[in-house]
Amino acid sequence: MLHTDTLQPVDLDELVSPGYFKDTDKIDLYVRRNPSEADPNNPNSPVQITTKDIKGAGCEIPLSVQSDIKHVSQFGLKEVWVGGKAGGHNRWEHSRGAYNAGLIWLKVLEADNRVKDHCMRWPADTWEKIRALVGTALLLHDYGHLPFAHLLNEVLETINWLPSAAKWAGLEAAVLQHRLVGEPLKHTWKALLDEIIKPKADRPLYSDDVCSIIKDLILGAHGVPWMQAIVNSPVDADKIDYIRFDSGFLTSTEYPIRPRILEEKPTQWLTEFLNDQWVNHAGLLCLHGRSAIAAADLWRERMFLYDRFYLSPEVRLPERMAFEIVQQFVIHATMSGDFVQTLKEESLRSYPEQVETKKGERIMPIEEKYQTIRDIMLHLQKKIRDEKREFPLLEWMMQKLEQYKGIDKGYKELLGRCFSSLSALESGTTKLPQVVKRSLVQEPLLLERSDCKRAMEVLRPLQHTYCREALIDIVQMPRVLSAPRRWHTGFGRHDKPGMDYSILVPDGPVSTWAPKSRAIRPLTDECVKELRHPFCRVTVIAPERADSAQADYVWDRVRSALLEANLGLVEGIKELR
Amino acid sequence: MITYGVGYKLEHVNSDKQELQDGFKITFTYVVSFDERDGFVRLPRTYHFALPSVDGFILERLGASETRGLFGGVENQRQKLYSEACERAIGEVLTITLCEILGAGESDKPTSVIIFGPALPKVVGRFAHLRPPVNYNILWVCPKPFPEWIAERANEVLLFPPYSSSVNDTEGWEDEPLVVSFEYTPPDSNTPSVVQHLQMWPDTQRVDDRLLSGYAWAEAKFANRAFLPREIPIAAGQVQHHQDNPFEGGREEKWRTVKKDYKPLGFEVEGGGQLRSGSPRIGVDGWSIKWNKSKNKQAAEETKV
Repeated sequence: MLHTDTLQPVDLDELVSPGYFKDTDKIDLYVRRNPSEADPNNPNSPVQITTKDIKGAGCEIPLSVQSDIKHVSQFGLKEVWVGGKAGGHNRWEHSRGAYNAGLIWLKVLEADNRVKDHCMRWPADTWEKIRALVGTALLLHDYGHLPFAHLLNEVLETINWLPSAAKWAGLEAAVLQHRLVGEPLKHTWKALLDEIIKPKADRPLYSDDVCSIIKDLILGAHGVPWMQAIVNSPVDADKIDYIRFDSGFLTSTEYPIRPRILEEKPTQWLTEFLNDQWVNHAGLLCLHGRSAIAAADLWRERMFLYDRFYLSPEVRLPERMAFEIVQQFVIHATMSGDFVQTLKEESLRSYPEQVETKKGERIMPIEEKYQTIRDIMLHLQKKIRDEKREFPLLEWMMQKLEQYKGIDKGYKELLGRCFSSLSALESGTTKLPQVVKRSLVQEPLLLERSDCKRAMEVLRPLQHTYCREALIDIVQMPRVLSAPRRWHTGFGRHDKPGMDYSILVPDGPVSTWAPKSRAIRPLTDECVKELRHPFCRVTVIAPERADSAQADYVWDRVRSALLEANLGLVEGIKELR
Repeated sequence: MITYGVGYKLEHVNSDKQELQDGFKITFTYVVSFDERDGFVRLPRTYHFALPSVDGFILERLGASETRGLFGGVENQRQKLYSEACERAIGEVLTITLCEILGAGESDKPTSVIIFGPALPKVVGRFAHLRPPVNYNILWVCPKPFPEWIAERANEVLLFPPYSSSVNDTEGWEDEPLVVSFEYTPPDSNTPSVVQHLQMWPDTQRVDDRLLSGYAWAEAKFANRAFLPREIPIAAGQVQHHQDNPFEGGREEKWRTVKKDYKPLGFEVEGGGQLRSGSPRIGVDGWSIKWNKSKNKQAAEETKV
């Protein structure tokens, strides 16, 4: 039973992001004004947004939910690997950043009358309701993240443990659907319904419906295209905020790359993006001229960050080490009742114990395992209570694995070497380039993106065989347009472009978009083809032993296994399609 | 030597209720023997599994020329999903079993885990992910022809990878297969079995004639009179017993003996009294089983039909 205090909504001041409102309570956005809405005496007047607008959107998030979001790192410890501190950036910081960006966006659309009345559909038929629904969805969009966030998703994906609810948007979607219907948020749905939506509604609506609307918005299934575009689309407020933050973060580290969208104020790019942007008669978000160019800048920057930072071999190296520890923990904590007993956490139950309670019931193994690991991680999340984020939890997992007798000693030594490297990074006694030098074997191998899944299957037995010596890491660069649900045209392996009908952009490839281009066609993979990084990267990591003959041998075996499987290695730029 | 024998049986369950999809169930257990001293039988468990729904319709697209699949080998979406679900479920129950064995095991002592049936890739992958200690020798033994007792309608042709004709012919070069497969005919037997060995580590004990002949092989009537390590017929017998005579009393003991007068599928085990109340060898209540090779063999002879 939750204590009543934890169900209290967060203080309204907590909703204002210092990333957007640093030492100020108002922002002026000098966007090109709608001639019919501009002040005739001052046609270039800015759209002004204040902290009052941010606080007054009617979003009530319980303290307990804020706390759960706050204790998960935004980066999955990447900050620690590159020499920063994990505490500075958590999922709540990012969620309220996305919320602020979303409300600024809505304010411009509203103040400039860029959305036709008939495009505001029941139950979101007034700006007040739209702000509350979009704002709540943005504040909760990361509520599905468990400790280690994307790393945990990857762990489950590689062992095929993701449940059916994760089909569209991964583990976070499955967990989110579970948490949105939980006790702490019941009051939030009721408050939204009673205070914002119901008073001016002429049709009945229930708390569950409000929960469904928020869920659909977060998962990309909402029926109003322009609202959906703000919450979850290729240019949503989530991406706008994390690219803003990560770009700023990189400049404070010794990491060798610098972002290209480097802003003094977070509203610089946003102002460009909100120029020439309209919602058309069908409710589609039209990125005309400068808005489309700014969106292209964002996509270019996102791909750059994925290639050179999030999924770069240097950052992946410690990530892969942490991955191995987390994966071993997850497998044993789920499958072994004996291992769970060694954890000395009374409320935890392993998968066989869960099944025992369902005597005679038919089970779906993947769903059961997912529920087991979800409950375990939700329980362990309580261990994250300080600015070190998930690192103490990783350390605890490592200890438990070391103590467990059911794991090979030679393999434990590899895990030990992994953890000592990570520990040295965390304490600052070693820098990332040193760890890379000692652990990265030769150079990464590049493959075409479409071969990634096959490469994983080909290398799976090799990883098992050489798991005492090395870790094999396979990462796939993301699509330029990352949206959960899309329509596809064409057939076949390579020719299957996706389409985002909710957003219109100028005709032609992205490099031909100009300030006066009109948005006339749906956003597709074809438009942004030039920005693609269509490859996956295979890296061999031998913790602390990159120079050993064994490490070189494993690298050779990986390369020859890929070649034997007829997977085309991209070893010269000309071969890259 | 500590030897575990693992047995499981998969049965199809057709639902007579409209709202329920067809499914299947797996009953499984294991038996452990400590040299010639004592051993235990784990209470069998039955897990019920649902089949995934098959999306869409099965089309007769090439009704005038297609290959229907007289001997299998032709892809059928429904059968593929069914096989996938069953193989995954077998992987689950065997992984749970191995985890229990690893959790209860005595460190560093040479231990064999012998599983009845073929080494399915989904099982191999799951076992490999557990990174079992090097002193655990994990083997699959499956007589030829494939005993239908394990899973009716199974397709023997597809169950085994190409394998060597004998244990002496398994040295590879360069490739490092996780599983080495070969044919083995135990002494006193004419029925060969396919033995598959998980070679997880470079220092995993290699399987050779000496190791294999060190197991106590006993005839199993239910498996076409093939000779199998004795722990397997007992485990299989317990599985069958569990299915034939579901226990309807109170809470069953997790570890127990086989009834003295019970002949599990043509193989008898002499039961002894309770070993020690509260603290048996592997940490839970149980009974000892006295192994008696000659008597077992004699009993097996007697029960031949």
